[in-house]
Amino acid sequence: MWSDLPFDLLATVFSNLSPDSLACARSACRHWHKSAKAFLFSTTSLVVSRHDPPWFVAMPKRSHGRLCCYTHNPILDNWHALSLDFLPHPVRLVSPIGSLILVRPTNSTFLQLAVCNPFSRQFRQLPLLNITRTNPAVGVLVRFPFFIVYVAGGMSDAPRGGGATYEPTLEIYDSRIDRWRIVGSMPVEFAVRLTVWTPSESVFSKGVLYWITSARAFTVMGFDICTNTWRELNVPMADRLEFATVVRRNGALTLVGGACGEINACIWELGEGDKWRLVEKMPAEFERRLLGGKGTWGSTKCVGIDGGIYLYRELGSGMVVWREVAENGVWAWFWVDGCSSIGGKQVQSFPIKGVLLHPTLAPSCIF
Amino acid sequence: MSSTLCCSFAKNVTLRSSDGQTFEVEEAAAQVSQTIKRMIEDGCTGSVIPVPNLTGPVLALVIEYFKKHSPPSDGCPTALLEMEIKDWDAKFVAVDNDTLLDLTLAAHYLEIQGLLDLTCHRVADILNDNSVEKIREIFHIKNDFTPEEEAEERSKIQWAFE
Repeated sequence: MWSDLPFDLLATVFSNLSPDSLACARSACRHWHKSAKAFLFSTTSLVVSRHDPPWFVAMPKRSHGRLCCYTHNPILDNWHALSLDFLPHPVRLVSPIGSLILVRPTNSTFLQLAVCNPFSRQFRQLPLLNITRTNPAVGVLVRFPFFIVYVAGGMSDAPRGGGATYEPTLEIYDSRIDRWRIVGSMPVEFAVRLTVWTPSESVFSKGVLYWITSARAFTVMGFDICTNTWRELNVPMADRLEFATVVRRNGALTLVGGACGEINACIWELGEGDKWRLVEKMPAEFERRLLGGKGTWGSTKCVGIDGGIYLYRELGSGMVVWREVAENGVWAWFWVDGCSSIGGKQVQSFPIKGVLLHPTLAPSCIF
Repeated sequence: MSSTLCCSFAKNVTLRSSDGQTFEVEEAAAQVSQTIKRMIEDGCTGSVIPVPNLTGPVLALVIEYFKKHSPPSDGCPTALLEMEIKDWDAKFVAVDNDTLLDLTLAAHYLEIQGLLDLTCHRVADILNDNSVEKIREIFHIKNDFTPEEEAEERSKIQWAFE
C-alpha cells in the first residue's frame, strides 16, 4: 500500500519534491505527515543545494494591510502568497541566511534583528545589540552549520542629551553562542558613509564583506574579516549609473548597474588588482520589457545568488533573470512574469524588496 | 587452462519468486541487487535463490532491469549506451501505479539503488504534478485526518494549495 511505504522510501521520494509539493503530499495521510516531519527534521536549512534554481521571495517596501510575502517558484513558474500572520510585528527583509531570512521588525526605530522562515512559519528575535544603533550596515556570513551577522556604524544615542553621534564600532552576532559582542572600532568615515548612504544587502566574497552605497556617486566599501581592515573601491561610471547593486556570482564580487541612453544594464566582475571587468550587457529587448517605457533605471532593484541574478521593480512588473542553465552551465537571459494574480484573485502591484533562497519546510534548530 | 575456460562462460543463478516461479539469470546481472550479491557471497544460496517478497510478474520485471544494468563485459560504458539506458529507464517506470509500487518495494527490498532512485523520482514527479485530493486518488490513500486536523494543516500551508 502506498499509504504505508517505509520511512526511508518516503524520505527518498520527499527529497525530490519542491516545498509546495511536499506541503501537499504530507497532508495526504497521517503516515505521510509523520514521515515528512521526520524527513524534514533530518535536513538542514543552512545547506544550500545548487541543483535547483533559487526562489525569489519578496515583501512590500511599505506595509500593505495583510502581512504576507510573495514568492516565485522557478520550476513551475508560478507565484504564491505566504501569510506572515505568525510574525509578532511587521518586518523588512534584510538578507537571506541559507534558507532562512534575516529580517528587521519595524516596530522599533533602532536596529533589532530577527530570523524567520516563511515556509516553516518560524520566527525568532535575535538578542539586543550591545549598542543601540539606528541605520547601521548589516552583513551576513553563513558558515555551515552556523552563521555570523556583522553590524557596522549607525547612529548611536547621545550620552546626556547631546546630539546623536555616528557609532564607529563593529558588532558581531555568532549563532553558536547566540550573543552579540563588540569586536572593535572602525574608521569614522566608513561609519558615516555606511550610515548615511543606507547600504543594501551585503556580499561576502573572498574573505571580504562588501556593501555599496545607495546613491550616486556609488562606492563600494569592503571589510576584510581576517585582517579587520576597511577599504573603499571605486565603481565604474559611478556618477552616471541610475542604479547599482553588488551581488555574488560564482564566488566573485559582481556589480550590476544601469543608466539610460548610453548603456543598458551592465554586469562587471571584480578581478585581480581591484579592477572591474565588464562581463555582460542586458539585451535591449529585456531592458524594454523591464523598464516598460519609463526610460529610467531609477527604481530598479537587483538581487543575486551564486547561480543567478534577478532585476526587478514592482511585484507586478516582471523580472529579468540572468542565470546559469543547469544542463550546460551557460548563463542565459530569461523573462519572468510579475505577480498579478494568485488563485484567480488579482494582486495589487507595489514596490518590493526581494531575496533569493532555496526554500525549505524543515524546522530549524535555531528557533 | 581449465579455469580460463570456466570464466569465459557466464555463470547463471536461479531466482524463485513467492509464488514459486523460477527464473534463470546471469550471476553478474543478478548482483545489481546488493541483497542477492550478499547472499551469493555468503554462499547461502544453494541451487535456487528464494526471493519471497516478490511475485513472479514483478520478479520478471526486475530481471529485465538486471539485464539492462548488468556491468558490460568489455569495460567502460559509452556515452551513447548511457543515453540509451536512460531512455530505457524512463520507459521502464512509465507504468501503472500498482506496478510502480511493486517496483519501488522490490528495489527497496533487493537494494537496487539505481532502480530505487528511478522509482522514487517517478513517484516524486507524480506528486509534483497533482493536488492532494488527486494524490490520494492515484495512490489509493485514505484520508485519516480529522476534519479539524486537516483544516489546521491547510491553514498553515494555504499558499501551496493556491
